[in-house]
Amino acid sequence: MLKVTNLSKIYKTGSVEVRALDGVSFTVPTGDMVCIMGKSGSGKSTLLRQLGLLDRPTAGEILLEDTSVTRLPDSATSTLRLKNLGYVFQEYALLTELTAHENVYLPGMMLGGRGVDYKKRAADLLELVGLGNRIRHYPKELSGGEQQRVAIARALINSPKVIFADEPCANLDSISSKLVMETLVNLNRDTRVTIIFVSHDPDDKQYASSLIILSDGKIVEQDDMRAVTLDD
Amino acid sequence: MIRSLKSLRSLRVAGFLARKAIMRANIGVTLLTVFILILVALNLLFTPGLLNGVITSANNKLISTYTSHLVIEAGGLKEQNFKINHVSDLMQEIESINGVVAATARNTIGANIKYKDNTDQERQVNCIVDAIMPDREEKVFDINRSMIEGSYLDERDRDQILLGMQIAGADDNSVELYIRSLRHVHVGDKVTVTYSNGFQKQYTVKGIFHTAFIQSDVQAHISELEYESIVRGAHDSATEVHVRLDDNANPNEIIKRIAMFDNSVDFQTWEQNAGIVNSMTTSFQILNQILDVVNALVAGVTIFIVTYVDVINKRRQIGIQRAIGIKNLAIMFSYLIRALCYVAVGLIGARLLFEYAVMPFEAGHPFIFPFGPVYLAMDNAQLVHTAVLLLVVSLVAAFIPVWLTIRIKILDAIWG
Repeated sequence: MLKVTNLSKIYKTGSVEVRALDGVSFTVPTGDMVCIMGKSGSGKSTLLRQLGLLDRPTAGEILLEDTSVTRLPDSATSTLRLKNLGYVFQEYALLTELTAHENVYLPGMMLGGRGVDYKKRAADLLELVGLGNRIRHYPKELSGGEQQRVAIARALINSPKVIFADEPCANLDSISSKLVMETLVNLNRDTRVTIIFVSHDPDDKQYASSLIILSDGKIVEQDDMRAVTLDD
Repeated sequence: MIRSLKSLRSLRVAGFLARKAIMRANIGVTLLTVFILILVALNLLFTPGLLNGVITSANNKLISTYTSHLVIEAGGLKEQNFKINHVSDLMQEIESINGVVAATARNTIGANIKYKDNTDQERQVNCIVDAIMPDREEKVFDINRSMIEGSYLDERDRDQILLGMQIAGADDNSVELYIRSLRHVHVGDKVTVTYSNGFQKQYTVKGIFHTAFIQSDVQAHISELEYESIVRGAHDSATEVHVRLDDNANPNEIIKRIAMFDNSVDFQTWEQNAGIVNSMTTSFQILNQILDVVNALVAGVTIFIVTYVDVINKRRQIGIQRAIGIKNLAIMFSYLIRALCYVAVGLIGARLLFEYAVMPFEAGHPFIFPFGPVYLAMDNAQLVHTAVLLLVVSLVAAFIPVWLTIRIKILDAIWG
């Protein structure tokens, strides 16, 4: 379970303060698939980055499995990201010097264990996202959609508790977008991994079990109260 | 324990990332980097190689023309004895010791040599005259192979003298001490020698030697037989005995053995007589240290630039690595390993080039120093020194840009 309480993020540029997030609170039950939507500048990517521990909030608290992860030191945050969190970025954020297979098993290697195990798991995950025949290809040899599916497989390598996807289909054509979203949905359904994704496309709501809509850094709407409950 | 396991994991990931980065790197940049490092390493090997060559060459000259490996002198004041007596027996005993090639005795005496040239202009030089045993001398020293005019002395030669080039001058004004020499003396010319005991005699110059070692070339030689006619009671005595040893002989052991025959003598090894070589070595070492610093800076700057450009280009990739949980330590190690790989290849390349190209080439075209040709010499200790210096410098140079980059926030690294 992921619980967020009064989360705020203020960016300072000289004497100017920009309140990107303003007292956001919500809870995401384990296995949920949450879509965060909002206009450009509404704070949805900022929220995802705070939740994914890529940035530190100015105020508020994030609890992962009842443990506060907001003020951890860098090394602990790094370990937490490695073990418990997975990321799919908007841009095809693969490492260009590594093959699809190597991109996927790299976090597994960092976590430790036998090479044969994480390499097999990486190959299985690539098979799962429909890229079993592309494991030796380098990112530049893959299409955008294929790269995003490699990123999804990479996000899953260490069996994370939560996967964060920041507009994973923003740069994809409609067919690839559908394939990527369906991959995420299938993973959520089959592995019960919690997925929180940001999208600006209203059609993506159909893939989510819960919806958070942000405006000016605040939650202004929520759908499907079955999964998402606003705390205030 | 857990910490070291994590470090080991980081090292494993670092090795993997470094290997992939090297394999996928721009081949031109990689070759250029390695090429520069080869040049730097060559530079670091060249000067000490030259220094070693100079020292080796100078020491060889010292041994083969001036001191031999071991000099035995009379006990001097402490024994109230300035001569080694029964020197024939002593030399026989010395030559029976395992590790001794040969021994020769010398008597030395101060002298003034005068020469009047064709224009009746008289010049004079003060020098040491060595009375030598030519047959034995040839087994200990190489002076007989340095004759530039005339021939070497024979055992029975009387009234004849050998002059060092720095005394004779021989009309060669390129000689270092030409201005203070007799300038125009050649073989067959007559010179007048006045010894320190007041004895004066005219000699015919039988030969002129030029060893290219100044200390040797400022001496004159006469035969022992001639000396015995000048100094009364000199038979079977000597002021010093020079001993040539095998390359593998232990001088200290041989000194102990000789002391068992005659404990009234003093010993000097050639190293104790190497003052001029030592002062030259000191100057070269200072020069070497300066070049070490310059080369280390060049190597450091090269690695720094390569790493800096690389991390700038890969800032986003480094951000992604950090975002997916790759430890900073692993990222840093990966760059350090790459730097070490570049340096290792540079060192190996430089060593091969030095040994199989530079040294053979220089051997064909040696540097000419005042004491003769100098050949580059490879010194393993210097190789280790060069390797350690380059490795340390490259580690520091690679560390700085990576450390600066991994301090940037992940978000800034990925999205700028």
